[in-house]
Amino acid sequence: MLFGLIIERTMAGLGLIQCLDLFETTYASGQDNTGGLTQAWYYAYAEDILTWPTYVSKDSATTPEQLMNYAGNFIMKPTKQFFEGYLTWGTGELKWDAQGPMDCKSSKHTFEISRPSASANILAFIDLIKNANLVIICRDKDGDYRVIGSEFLAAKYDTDAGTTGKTGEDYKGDVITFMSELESAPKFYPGVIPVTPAS
Amino acid sequence: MWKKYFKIIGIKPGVIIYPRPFGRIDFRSDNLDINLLKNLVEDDRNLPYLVITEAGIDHFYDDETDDDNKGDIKGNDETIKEYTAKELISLIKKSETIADAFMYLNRGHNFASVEKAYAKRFYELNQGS
Repeated sequence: MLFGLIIERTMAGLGLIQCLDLFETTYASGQDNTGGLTQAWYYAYAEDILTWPTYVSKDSATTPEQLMNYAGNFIMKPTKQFFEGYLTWGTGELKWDAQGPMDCKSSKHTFEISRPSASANILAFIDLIKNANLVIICRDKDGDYRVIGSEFLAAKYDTDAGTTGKTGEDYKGDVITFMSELESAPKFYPGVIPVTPAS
Repeated sequence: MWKKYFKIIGIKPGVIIYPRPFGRIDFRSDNLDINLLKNLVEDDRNLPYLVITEAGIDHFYDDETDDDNKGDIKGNDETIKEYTAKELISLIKKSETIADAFMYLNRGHNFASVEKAYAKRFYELNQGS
């Protein structure tokens, strides 16, 4: 998706604004590449973040990692923190889909989880976040953390299908999706997640 | 035991998810591996929330009789300049910023006493921030 975006050259008289040149995208056999997300994920109100980690734009990135990784850490306002959520193993998925017409392409992010139990606890959580500005961090099975929601466009609760189920063989809980968008796929976050209040 | 050698700053005691290789650390526990925490505060990424105490500096960075040894290290002007451990310690003590102190540490990593002086100055500067 990024291939055509990261090269500085003139094509048909039109200049492209990039710093990073194209590079090989071959694939080495034998490496880990496990699908799916781990069961813990993290969320916070976007308004509770004091300072955001940063990332460089494609006109100043010099490596692919620089373009796709956040640098620095989420620092929370006093008494604020990230919270840990749970998802049923095998149901968590982060998707990034191209959106927009030609010459206006960007990336829509969708984070889907199944959360078991139709308890007051989880239903109250949904009620609290249904119109809130959020930032979400999930971890894939290779151990990489990715962020949904950015400093200028938060993650939002999008869809929810909650059910008690009908029989003992049914799922009882909520299938929830969150969405956001960005100029690129979700950025990686190699920083620290404070799951305890800032002082 | 770890609380004698390290102190958390900027958060209340609780869970922090650190990037690899550290992972999840619950600072409410009394039984954290002090060597893991030492690696954490020494990590090049300047990971937040944990600093070493003066007792930790004394414990981890033993004084060695290397004051008379000399380092064969590059100076700012790219000319080769030799610093004694004593000179580096003096420069670290006078450093106004962590970055300055770190620069002198880089010139004397081979001296335990320089590492100790850096750790102490790092602690002092963090206390002041």
